[in-house]
Amino acid sequence: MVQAAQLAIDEINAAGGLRGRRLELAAYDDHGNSDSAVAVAGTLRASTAVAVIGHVWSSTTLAAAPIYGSGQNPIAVVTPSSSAPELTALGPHLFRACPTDLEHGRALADWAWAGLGIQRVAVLYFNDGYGRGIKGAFAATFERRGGSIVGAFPFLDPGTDVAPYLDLVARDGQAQALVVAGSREEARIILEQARARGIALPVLGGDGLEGLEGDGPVGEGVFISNAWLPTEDQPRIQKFLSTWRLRYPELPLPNQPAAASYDIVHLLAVAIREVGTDRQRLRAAIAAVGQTTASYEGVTGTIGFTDQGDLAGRSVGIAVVRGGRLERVVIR
Amino acid sequence: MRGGTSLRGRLAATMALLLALVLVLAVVSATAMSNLDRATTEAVGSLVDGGRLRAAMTDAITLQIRLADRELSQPGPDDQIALSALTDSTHQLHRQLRLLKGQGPEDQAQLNRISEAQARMEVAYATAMAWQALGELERAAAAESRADAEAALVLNEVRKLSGLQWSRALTQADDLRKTAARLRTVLWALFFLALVIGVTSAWRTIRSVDGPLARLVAATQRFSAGDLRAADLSGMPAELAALGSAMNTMGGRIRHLLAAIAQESREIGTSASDFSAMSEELAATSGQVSEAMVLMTQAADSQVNALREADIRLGELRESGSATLRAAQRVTAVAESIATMADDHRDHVLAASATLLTLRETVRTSAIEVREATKQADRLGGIVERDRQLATKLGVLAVNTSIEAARAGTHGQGVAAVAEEIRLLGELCESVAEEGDRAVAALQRQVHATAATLETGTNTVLGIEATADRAATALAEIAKGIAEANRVAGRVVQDAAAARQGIAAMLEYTAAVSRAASEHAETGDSVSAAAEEQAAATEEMATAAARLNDAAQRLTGLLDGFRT
Repeated sequence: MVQAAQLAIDEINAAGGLRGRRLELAAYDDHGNSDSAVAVAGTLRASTAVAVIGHVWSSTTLAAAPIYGSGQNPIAVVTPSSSAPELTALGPHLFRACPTDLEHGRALADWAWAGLGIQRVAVLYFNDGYGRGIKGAFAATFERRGGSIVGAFPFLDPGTDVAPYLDLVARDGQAQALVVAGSREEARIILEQARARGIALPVLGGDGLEGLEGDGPVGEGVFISNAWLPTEDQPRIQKFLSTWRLRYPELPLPNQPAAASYDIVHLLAVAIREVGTDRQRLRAAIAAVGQTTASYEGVTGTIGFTDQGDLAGRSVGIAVVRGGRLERVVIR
Repeated sequence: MRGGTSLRGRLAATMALLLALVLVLAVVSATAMSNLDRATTEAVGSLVDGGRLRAAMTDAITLQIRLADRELSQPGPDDQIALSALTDSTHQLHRQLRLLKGQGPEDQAQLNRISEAQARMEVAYATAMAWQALGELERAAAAESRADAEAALVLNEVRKLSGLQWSRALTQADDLRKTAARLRTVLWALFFLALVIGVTSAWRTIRSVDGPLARLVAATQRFSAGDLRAADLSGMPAELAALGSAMNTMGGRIRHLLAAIAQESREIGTSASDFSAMSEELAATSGQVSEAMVLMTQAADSQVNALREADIRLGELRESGSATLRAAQRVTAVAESIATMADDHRDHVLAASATLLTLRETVRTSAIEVREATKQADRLGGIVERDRQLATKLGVLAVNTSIEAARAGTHGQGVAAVAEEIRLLGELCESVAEEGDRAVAALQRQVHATAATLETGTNTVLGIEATADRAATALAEIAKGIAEANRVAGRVVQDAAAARQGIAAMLEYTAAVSRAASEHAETGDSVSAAAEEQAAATEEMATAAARLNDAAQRLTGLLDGFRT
């Protein structure tokens, strides 16, 4: 994400900067921790930064967003990947450039029901805003279609928490598939434990599982919802990927948060060119994107915001891990 | 305008100052009250909402713990569903607590701890239930124990949050109290400031009006008593100064008016005297005017008669002009016929000239041939001369031959016969020479006569040619002269026409002058009558002038009552 943002900033500065000034990136690490995110938010709000790109996780964004939006001079924050529904309408200063978990959960439920013919599933979810969001959205759509959730199991430490859940699933034998709402690492641990128990059920998961295709055979056959893949054959994406490869030959291809961060930097550049660096004017300019001003066409697609700060009109697709790669099975 | 700031300006400035102070007071008060109200509302609202949400969260977590415990002791699907719904509800409360206004990083950090502890509690309960479902009671108990500990921690963290927020509420309440106290002080200060400024301004305004007004009243009274000298307006407010200035202006104008009236009355008296004298002179001159008018009438009659005579002469002149016009027209006609004829004969003359040119060329050729014949005749004379020389030589030869024949005797008979023949031949030659001489002489005479004739003819032809050229030139000159005559005749026609029109205009003019002279004579009669009437009016004017003089003397007496 930082590399992608830096790439966009270098492009902008190479083209003359903004209003005669250079754009600079100040990167802060919230360690995926809510307390750190709050501290970082306080620091950034008091700084000379004009806007914030982040945070990655829904839980950190949820904790930090009220800090960004408070005080005498609140600052706009655009998250590339925090998809929890709890973030919707969290404040006028929060925007996101990714679909919400409602879209991911809906896409996964549709695919499980219509694509895989599954009627009963067990859901293992990381007990934070993201996991609960995927779980809630999946359950709502799946049950509306006629399916049933045979178990909804929260976890925090997959190494210790999911064992009784998997034993129950294996023992009951009711579930036809597992839904994992967490991160790639957590999913890998869960899958290893499931395989160890002889559970060979199809596995579906949200975009947090992206990267699982690089974890070897354990991830094979897992269906992952995603808002963007670096394999899409579009000129704009291909140009971005070739630039990325030239700049970062040692890194893997960018994921959705990285691509969205790249887009957000360019979107902010457009807004700054138009209204300058005043935080409130900049916030208003961002809020107007897709409303009263034109949407931004980025590598992740068309970016425009709803009046609640969500990404407007973006659906997600389904990909499957096959041969160590993600292959699209449902076009978004 | 003399004087200081206007009274209206002073009053307006004072009122504006007071209004501004009141406005500032009101705005400051309203803003401060509004801010205070908003801060109080937010603080109270945040406190109320926070308390309500924390209470709700405490209740929800307590109920969550109770339901989880019951589910662990008596598993059932209803409690699972209720527990799931309650979990979602608790997280919603948690989100609402995050969005409360006035939250600082400490609150968010505390909320994070609550959220994390709650998440651990939920996971612990879920794993306990799973272990219990699997029949792993010890593990279930261990998990439940962890869940209870997390539940206690959650409740404790919620209490900490309450304490934190109550502490902040107390701080906010203290801030509000201090703010209200500051506001009260500021408002009182502003009020007293407004009061002092208002009283000071009113006192200054009254003082600035009172003195000048008294001076103006005194000046007005003096003015009413007839003292029209200007009042002193220095230091007066603008309105009073304007009033005093208007009064001074009025006094000045009255002074000027009185002076003008006095001057006029004096001039009227003088004029009345002059008027009287002039009326007498007028009466005297009116008789002379009457006489002059009579003379003028007579002169006008004479003028009428003279104009009539001029009219007759002009009529004659008009007839003469008409005759001139007709003559000019005839001249024009004759000139045109001459021009036509000259044009015709010029062609004939040109043809004759051409013929003469041909003839001249013929004569010139004949002269050349005659000159050639003369040369031939001269050559023929030479031949005759040589024939004569031959006859002479033949005679000499015949003599010599006869002499020789005589010497020879009989032998010389043949020679004598030859000598005879030679002598005959000489005689023949002589006669031929004589005839040739005569023929040549006759031929030369003829040739010379012909040459003389040709010379005469050539000269004649040259003369005729020159004559023809002169005739053509003369004809061209005639045509040009006729054209000039024609142009002059046309000009004469135009002049004659213009003269006729001028004569006609002059006739009209003389008629008009005649009528004017008649009217003049009539006017002279009228003027004579008017002069008589004027004499009568002049006497009345003299009487009026006397009355006017008396009035002017009375007016001057009245003006002496004013002090200017």
